[in-house]
Amino acid sequence: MRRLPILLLGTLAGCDAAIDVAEPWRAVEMGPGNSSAGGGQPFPGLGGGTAGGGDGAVTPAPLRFKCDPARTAVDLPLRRLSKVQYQNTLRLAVQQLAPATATAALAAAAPKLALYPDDVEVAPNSFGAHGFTRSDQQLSQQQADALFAVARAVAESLASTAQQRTAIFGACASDGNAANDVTCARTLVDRLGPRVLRGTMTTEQAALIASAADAARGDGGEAVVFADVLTALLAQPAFTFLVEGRGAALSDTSAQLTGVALASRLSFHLTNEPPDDALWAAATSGALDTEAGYEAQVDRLLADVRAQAVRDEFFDQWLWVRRGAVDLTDQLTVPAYRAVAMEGPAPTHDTRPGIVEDLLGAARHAFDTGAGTRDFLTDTAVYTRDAQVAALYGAQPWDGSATAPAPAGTRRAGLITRVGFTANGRFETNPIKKGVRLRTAVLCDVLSAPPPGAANSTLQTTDVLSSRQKVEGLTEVSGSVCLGCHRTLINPLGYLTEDFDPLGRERSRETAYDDQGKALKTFDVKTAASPHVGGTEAVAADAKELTERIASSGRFEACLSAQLFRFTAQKAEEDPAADGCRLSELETLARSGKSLKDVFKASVMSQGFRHRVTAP
Amino acid sequence: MKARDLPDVIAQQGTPLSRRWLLKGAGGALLAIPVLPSLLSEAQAQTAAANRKIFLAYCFPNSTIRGDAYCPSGLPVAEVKDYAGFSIRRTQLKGSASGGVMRVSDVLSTSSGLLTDALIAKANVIRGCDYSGSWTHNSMHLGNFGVGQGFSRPDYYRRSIDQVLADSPSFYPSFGGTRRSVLFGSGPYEGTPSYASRNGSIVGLGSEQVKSAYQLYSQLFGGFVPGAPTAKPRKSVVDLVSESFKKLRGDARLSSGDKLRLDQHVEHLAEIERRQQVVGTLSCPGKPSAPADLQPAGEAAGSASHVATLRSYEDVLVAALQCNLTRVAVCYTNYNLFSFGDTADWHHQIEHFAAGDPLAQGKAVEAARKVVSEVVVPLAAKLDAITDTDGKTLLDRSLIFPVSEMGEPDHGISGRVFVTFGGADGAVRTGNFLDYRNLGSTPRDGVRFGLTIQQLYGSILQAMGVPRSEWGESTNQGYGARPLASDVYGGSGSGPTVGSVAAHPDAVWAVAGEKLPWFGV
Repeated sequence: MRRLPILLLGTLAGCDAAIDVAEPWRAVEMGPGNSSAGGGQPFPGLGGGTAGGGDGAVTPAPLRFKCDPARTAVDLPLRRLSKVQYQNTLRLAVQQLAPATATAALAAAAPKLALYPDDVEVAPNSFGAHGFTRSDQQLSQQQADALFAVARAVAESLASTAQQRTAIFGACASDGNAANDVTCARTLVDRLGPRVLRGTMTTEQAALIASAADAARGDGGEAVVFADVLTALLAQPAFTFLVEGRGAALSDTSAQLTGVALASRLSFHLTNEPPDDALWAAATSGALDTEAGYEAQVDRLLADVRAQAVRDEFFDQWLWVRRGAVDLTDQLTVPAYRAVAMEGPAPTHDTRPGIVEDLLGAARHAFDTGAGTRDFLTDTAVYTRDAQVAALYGAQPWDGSATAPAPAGTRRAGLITRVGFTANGRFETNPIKKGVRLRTAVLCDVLSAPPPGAANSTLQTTDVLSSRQKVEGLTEVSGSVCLGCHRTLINPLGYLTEDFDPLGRERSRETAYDDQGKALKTFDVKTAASPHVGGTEAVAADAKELTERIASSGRFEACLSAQLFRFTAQKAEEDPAADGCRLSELETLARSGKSLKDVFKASVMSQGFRHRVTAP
Repeated sequence: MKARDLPDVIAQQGTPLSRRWLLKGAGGALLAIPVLPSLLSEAQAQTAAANRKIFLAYCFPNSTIRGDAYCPSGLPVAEVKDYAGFSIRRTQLKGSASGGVMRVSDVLSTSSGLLTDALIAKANVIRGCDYSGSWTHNSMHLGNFGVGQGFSRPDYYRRSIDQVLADSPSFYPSFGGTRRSVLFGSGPYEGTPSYASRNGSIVGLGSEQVKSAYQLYSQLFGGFVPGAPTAKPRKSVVDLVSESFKKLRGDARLSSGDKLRLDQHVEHLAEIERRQQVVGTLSCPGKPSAPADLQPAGEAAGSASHVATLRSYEDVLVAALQCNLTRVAVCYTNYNLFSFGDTADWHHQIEHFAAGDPLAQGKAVEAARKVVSEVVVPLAAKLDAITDTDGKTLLDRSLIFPVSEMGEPDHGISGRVFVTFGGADGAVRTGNFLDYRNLGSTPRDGVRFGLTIQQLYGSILQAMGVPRSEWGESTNQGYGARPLASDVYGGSGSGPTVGSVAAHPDAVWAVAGEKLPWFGV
């Protein structure tokens, strides 16, 4: 008798074993037309169009989001900069203050920066889901400690020699005359403060910073005095928060952002950096206040290499790219895995970078070529330069510039069959994990936690089973508490990519091995399943049919819209009603076949992005 | 010329300093000391909160006594640890009192009213941190292994550790006292162990050496205005930063949610400010009465007289420490301290025979006991009797570091033992006998090598709040130069002859930048 524990994940909110298996998702979905715009449940509907059809025809779902102009979402209160945004802000500020010694000063502060807590992904309220790190708005003592310590370390380095002080402040910072120190500091603050503090500095604030040089604060040489000034400057609110000045009022709670505030919001969002020279010039000249001037800056920044890194961040965290990338050599010492690996070309080095490159490369390609969501979903080209990862596709490595090679074989369907989605680096595949990822990340469905005791389920059998058979036996037997969700919502999505082995290679047969790596039995792979996507419960044959249903259902576009909104607004989760206008704008555009680039652009061209709305 | 007009060169002595000093070579060129400006700021940042640590060293010549004389015996080993390729040991110090005498070891033995259990708990005995280089008289007590009596190795020239401290922007982020360091002693001064003295090609800075308590008083309290502190500690800018956030909070355009976020950050800033203010502040008792202006005692005065002289220095020093006039002091004791009147040439009649002559050995042990137990212990007790506003004593802030010129046997340099007092403001763990010797190795002339003095001095500097970035080496993370592979230790009456690699293999140097186990917190 073999006991086969397996990870159980996910039950849909409200679903349980009593759900009618004939229409399992109907018990929990609000369904097309049932979804009220004011409803607070994200993505309650699992189907598109008329559910219950059995012929496999996909009926596109109605738009998930609706705009109710009477409802206006409130911006997050005083957003803090993400860690990377803070680092970039500091770096650029130091470079503006002291171009020649910035590198040394930043190196001096590196140990303190290491104390700054990393941002964590803030997930929406769905079991197994993950969110964006820039949504981490937590303020902590550790963070404040690090901010101040970093400012201090940088400042002390910059002010440590007479030569450096002179370069930053002028000769007055090294003349031995304490009487002019405040004036000396004020000159610097007035000159660079507006830019370094992104236009948030008031006259009063400038005086406060300069007063750090006041001899009345205690004894100390000029190195100490001017380090105090720089510390005070580099620890201002603009280094912690996105302080946004408001321009013309639109209502009691809503106002246009000022030019410099809009420039900061736009720049941090698209590049993770404060405004560059061109954007700053546009902001201060008033050009950004015009539609054409603003759009010109948006277009420029979208083409900027820094924006590509931010888009990578978006796709990475949305689609679990790095989270899902595994080192396929990690388990090679496990005989059963080694036996699986030896069935085909097996990597000998860490495959994670190559897997990540492939997935993010696909996203970059889609963005850069003006592709829409369908193209992104169905693009099968191989975008890795890692020959060993490419070999998993049966392809040559990409050279990084020419047309990406096509995979060998016939089973690849696009995004969800990339090695980054199918490979798990274990001795057998895990349809449950694959299903949860597709359900929550790609379709943005909401799952609730498994019922108590679900994780203790075991399969009592002496039979040698395939990966799918194990999952079926464990979660889909009559009477199981797991049945309702696993059979309909989770497992089928995983079964449909079972024709890819644990290394992400195509397969038509699966061999089960014992713990010593001895082959026990070989199975024909069975992929067919009803994925409950696209308003039909008809069985799909494989990943290609699943991809087609996803692409035709409108669900991927709705998910993209929600994710992009979260990323842009730095919210863990949208309010479908209050945020409906911004969300529906994105969804409509994506559903219309517009390019990913257009959707990205729309996210910042939106009036909602350009206004600041606060709670009363 | 004003001090602040001098770019990076300070050569005058005795002037209250308000800026960082750099050392200047004797020829006028700046010495290439291993300090990177970019790293100094890190050092300063690490001690942004006030550094109030005190380093007090006692340097005494010779003391060629057996190492066991310093160490406790018969106590159970508390911990054994594999380190640098061999086993090291920690034993908890414990004294035994009998007949009014508290005894930890032959050297650490004095009145039980002075050497209490509480004071023993604030002491360490450290064995097995070897001098690893060539040796000569009159040098190397506190580092700089490049110069001594008739000996010069320019490639080994370094600032001694008291020089590093006195010059450190981390140790003195803002100096407001009267002397960055003081050097005083009994009898004529011959060595080059400290900040004030010429140290190889490094020009000594700070205070000139003084020969009497009166001179020390004049140096420290000469410019001191009674009733007014000489330095006003500079206020941290946290309050200004916090004020900026509060001003922003007053912006009418901010929502209540925005203000809550600002409040949260302001609370965190307040916590930073509160922590910076936790540092205790001693109250300065004011300007003490000047000691008698006596001529330094001569050779014939005998050891009792010199012990009394050293104790009179301590009264001045303790008062100055309370008033924060300095935080580095080095006492250099001369041969005459050990003259008991029964020999005219202590060095050649006692030291050179101490290894093989029990009578000479006994006298050498007693000389070391006098320094440690009748000079150093009373100072430790005095400092421990002064409590700060935060409940810590002045001793708790301090590290008292007696260091002899030689170890065992004869003029050996590797077998020295250090008896320290004080916790360096929490940076040093105390109450232990730390034996870092490789007891599994084959002894050479009775000496087993262990770790290096480079590691000990590096640990001390780190304990005093001065990071490696201010003194570290490119090839050795400990303090000071690593000997060349071709260097030979000892010989010619200065301990066992052994190649540097055989004495201290790579595994030992690999840890030389670490804080000594069980010592540095």
